[in-house]
Amino acid sequence: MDDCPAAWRDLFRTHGGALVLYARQWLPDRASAEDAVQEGLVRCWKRQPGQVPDVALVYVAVRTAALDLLKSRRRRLAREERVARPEAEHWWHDDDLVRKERAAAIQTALEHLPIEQREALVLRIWGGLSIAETARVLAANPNTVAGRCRQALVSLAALLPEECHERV
Amino acid sequence: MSESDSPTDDALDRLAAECRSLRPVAPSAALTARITACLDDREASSLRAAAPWAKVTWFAERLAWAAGGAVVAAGIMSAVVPRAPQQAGIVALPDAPPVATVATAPVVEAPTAPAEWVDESVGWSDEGIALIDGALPARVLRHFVLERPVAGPDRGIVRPREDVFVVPVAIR
Repeated sequence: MDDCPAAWRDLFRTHGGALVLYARQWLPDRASAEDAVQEGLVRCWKRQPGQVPDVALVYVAVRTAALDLLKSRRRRLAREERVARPEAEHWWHDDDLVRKERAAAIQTALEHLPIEQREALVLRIWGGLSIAETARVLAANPNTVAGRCRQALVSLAALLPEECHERV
Repeated sequence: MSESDSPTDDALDRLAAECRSLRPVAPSAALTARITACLDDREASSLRAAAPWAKVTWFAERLAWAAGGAVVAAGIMSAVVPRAPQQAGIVALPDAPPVATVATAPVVEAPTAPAEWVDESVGWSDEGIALIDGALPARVLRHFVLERPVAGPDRGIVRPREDVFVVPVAIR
């Protein structure tokens, strides 16, 4: 029981970046995505304060919070996105210049994927969830989730620049 | 992604591995601080709520306050209003001198009066509302009674008695 808050902190330490990346798939800027992560994580913690966190449930809570935030701020967020084009935001951290370029290309390609494929891929690749856990988060059949992930990778490969293809 | 011999699957696996090697940008320090603060706050409140003795203590404390209040109120009431006799109203005491009994509610006849004495009601007097000790409002009623023995050596004796009824009232 006493270790549970520490477990929640560990979860945030381990999955914080992926959670923000996941929320970012719906929200137009990083600040809003962080708001959604905070809202989702705290909401989930309130629901099961004495328990070891269920990672899949935390992702579900963050997804719900992101969609709620999107609904409540849709008009303002759209205006802000239109008026102030944010500085190029990097989803991944990399010091290596070549890898940074490659990461930027993957980010651009990912942004063009349908949201169903994108969220499945983010949960599987960067969230580290299994197919079953991803299916729980998305409330979908595991086979459907596996299909979406595969399709997302196929689309991603097709969208990546030619020079990137050669690397793949 | 599943392993496969087909080049496409192999390429997809390599792409997945490459994607996996990209580390998402860590949350900002502000978000980390906000979440830590929320968790600490919730931790403190959940520990309070989770302790089973906390609820018992909470209930016992309030019960003690309520009981204390009731005892004080009962003490004030017993100090201000003398305790009524078990048989409210007229109580015949053959061997005792005439006394004034005080009751909380007027009862005209006492069904348990001794057979050898009878009460003759002379009259009632309503003295209206009075403040007992200047604080407790009460209505004061007086009942005048004559006690006469039916038989025995005391036959012919008449004992006057006055019953005083102090009825607490609430002024609204």
